[in-house]
Amino acid sequence: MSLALIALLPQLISAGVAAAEEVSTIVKTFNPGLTDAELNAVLDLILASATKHKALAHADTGAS
Amino acid sequence: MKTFLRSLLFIPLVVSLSCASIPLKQKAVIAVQASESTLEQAQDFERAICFNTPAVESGPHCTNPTAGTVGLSDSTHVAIAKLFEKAYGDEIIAVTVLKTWNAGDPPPTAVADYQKDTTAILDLTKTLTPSHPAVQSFITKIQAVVNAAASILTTLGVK
Repeated sequence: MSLALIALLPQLISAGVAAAEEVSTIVKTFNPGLTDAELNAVLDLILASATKHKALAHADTGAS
Repeated sequence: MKTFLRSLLFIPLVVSLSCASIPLKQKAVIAVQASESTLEQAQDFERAICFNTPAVESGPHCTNPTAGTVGLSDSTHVAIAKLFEKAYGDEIIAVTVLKTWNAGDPPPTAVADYQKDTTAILDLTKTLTPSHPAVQSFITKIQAVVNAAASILTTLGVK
């Protein structure tokens, strides 16, 4: 799996072409193993999503 | 167009479905991604019980009458939101550590914290009206998060 395709995933997700859950499938089924740079690109996607949802949870606490 | 793009994306998946041994870090990333996905689904579900229009509403006050029906008070919603916030925080730490993690390194301690947070959400969820189908679905979703957290630890060789 090329790093270019990994880099394209956020755009595909935001365009509704690929659901975030499908990233898991992509990571799981590509074989042989991804490179460290590719895995870190996926981790960056997870970080971005977790950060967004953390902010939402914070808003729900009512704390400023 | 979407169908065409999906084909471009997933045809290579079908070709590469013969899974040989996957490196440990990749297994860890798979486990973390699965956990993140289940956590988001559980949070979305709780917010759908709490808010009439969760896509545009947020805050400590539930507007959906279903919340009252299932015993989700504003204070419980806030308590759950605090735990979600903490779980995401621990996950962010764990993911950041994983970026430079290699097989043989000690697992990020934040993963164990993450498991505690998600277990605490599960415990809180069990205080809601257990007979209500929405609560049962919520419990199932949170249990999936707890299981996913355990899976990360197992992958990293903790349990």
